[in-house]
This record gives sequence, C-alpha cells and structure tokens, in this order.
Amino acid sequence: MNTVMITQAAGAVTGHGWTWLNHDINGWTVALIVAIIAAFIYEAIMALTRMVTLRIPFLVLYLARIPTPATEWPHLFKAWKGELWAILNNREKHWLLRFFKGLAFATPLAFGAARATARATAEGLPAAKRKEAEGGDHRDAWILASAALSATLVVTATIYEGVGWVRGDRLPFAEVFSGIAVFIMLCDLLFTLPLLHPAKPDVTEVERRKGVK
Amino acid sequence: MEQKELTPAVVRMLQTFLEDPERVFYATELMEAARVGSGSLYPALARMERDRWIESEDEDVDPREKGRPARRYYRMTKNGALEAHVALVELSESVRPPASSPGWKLAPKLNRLGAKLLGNACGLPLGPEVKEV
Repeated sequence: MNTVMITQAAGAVTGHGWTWLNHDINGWTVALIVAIIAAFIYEAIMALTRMVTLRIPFLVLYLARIPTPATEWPHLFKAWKGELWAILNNREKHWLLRFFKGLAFATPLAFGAARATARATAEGLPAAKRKEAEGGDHRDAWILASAALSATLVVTATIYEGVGWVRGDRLPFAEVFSGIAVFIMLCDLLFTLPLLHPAKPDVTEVERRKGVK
Repeated sequence: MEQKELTPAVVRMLQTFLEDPERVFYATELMEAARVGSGSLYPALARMERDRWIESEDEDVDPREKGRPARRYYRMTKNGALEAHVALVELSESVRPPASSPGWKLAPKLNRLGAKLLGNACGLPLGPEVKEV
C-alpha cells in the first residue's frame, strides 16, 4: 500500500463516529485510564507524604536525647512519646494541622526544655545522684567535642574556599562544607549558651552552710 | 516552689489545676487549658512534682494491645492544692500596686476603669467617692 492509496482510503471516510469535545471514544478511553492512574499516583504520594511528615516531629523529639541525661531519658521520653502520638493521631484534625501541632510540641523540648526538665527533676535528688542526673560530665564532653569539630570544619572550609578563590574557580562541595560547619557551630552555641548561667550551689554545700549557722 | 518560679505560665497552670483539684489532666489537655507550650509545661510539671504538688501516673494500658504508647496523666495532691493556693495568694499580694501609686492620678478615664475593676474584684459597688475621682 503506497501513499496514494492511503490518502484515497482516508478521503473515502466521511466521519469518525461518536465524538465529544473533538475527541472520539478512543481518546476519552485513554484520558480515563490516565486519570485513574494519576489519581492512584496522587493518593500514593499523599499517603507517603503524610506518613513521612507525621514522623518528622518524632525525629525532632529524638533530638532531645542529646541534652538529656541518660538516666532521665527513658522516664521523660515515655511521657513525651505518648503525648506526641496522641497529637499526631487525632483524626478529627487535618493531618497538616496535626503535623504543625506535633512540631510545636517537639521543637521546644528538643531545644532546651528537655534539659530544663531534667534539671528540675534532678533538683529533688540527693547531691550524689544529682550530677549524674544532670549529665554534667557527658554534656561538657559533648560540647567540647562538637566545638573542636566545628572549629576544624570552619578552618577547613575557609582554606578550601580560599584555595578555590586563588585558583579562580569554585571547588566542588565548598558550600556543603561551609553549611555543615555553620550548622555545627549553631548547634554548639545552642548547647553552650546555657552554660553561661551561673552554676547553682551544690546541695551539700547549702546544707553545710546551714549547719554552720 | 519558690516565688521566682511562679512564672506566668506556671500561674496559669496552677489556676487550671485549682479550678478542679481532683481532675486529672493529660499534658496536651493542660497545655490547651492553661495556654502554655510544651517548653514551659514540662519543666514546670517537673518542679511541681518535685515539691509533691502534683503526682503523675502512666495510663494502665498495654501498648501492644492498644497499638499506641501509654500517656501520662497528672493530678494535684491535696497538700499541693493547699500550698499552690497559698502561693498564688502570696504572689497576688506581692504584685499588688501600692495604694498611693501615682498611676491612679494619670488620667480620669483610667481612674474610672481602675475603680470599676477594683470594685468588681472586691465585689463592691462603685461608691460615690470613687466616681468623683
């Protein structure tokens, strides 16, 4: 069959049967199938988004482990986990609202309140257990280690950027290096600033002074 | 609990507890009722628990059976209710402005408003001598 015959055959057809909005049944069938597949894909993506999004507040809450002493963590985390779960599984509210409420619950705990809670709990303990509960030694070690790491990263990133600048082109991952360094520095500041508050007198010291009077 | 620890958030929490000292609260219920965030709530609860003003208990549920972790609820103790009430009264006394405060003379409108608030707080009608101020 050559081109001339095809053209003649096409010309002999007077119409294309049922059409709607300039599309025949085949066109609409394809559109329907594509729409159903798109709906499935959309629902799957939204379900995945909900699943991942509603896990993020838990991840933020786990960050509270860093400033919280190991002795206090299981007791405190048990309470926080139960409440966060209740917030995130309140089906009466939209999932996005639940996500933000969960985040609003977890974020203050991760950045300061967990440590404050542990300190408040520790104030009622005998002096021997108090330091352990406040996690002083571990906390100081962690801060020193992260300070050393951030300082190293800052120096490395500066040298790396400098070499790139001298060579006249940007070296790969320079921004990543700088970003990580700045992030660790900020984290370090976050945990170092509370140390600037004057230390409270030790319980035994207070008792000793009372005894002297 | 020392007076310096009675922050506005703690005061609102105590007021919420004292409205019905026998009621038990979950943390999120308390957060909503007292309008405090988790960052203020948990350190305050820890201090109250340290001073035996409140006691906490975990829900008696099996997490595997229920498919969710147990929540912790908080209840005011009898002694805590008494001490918290006294603490709030003492705080209220300590933050009351002096009667001779010049603030009362600043503006006639404010005077009337202040007198009205004071009258409402004391449960007294607005007297003629106050109206003239």
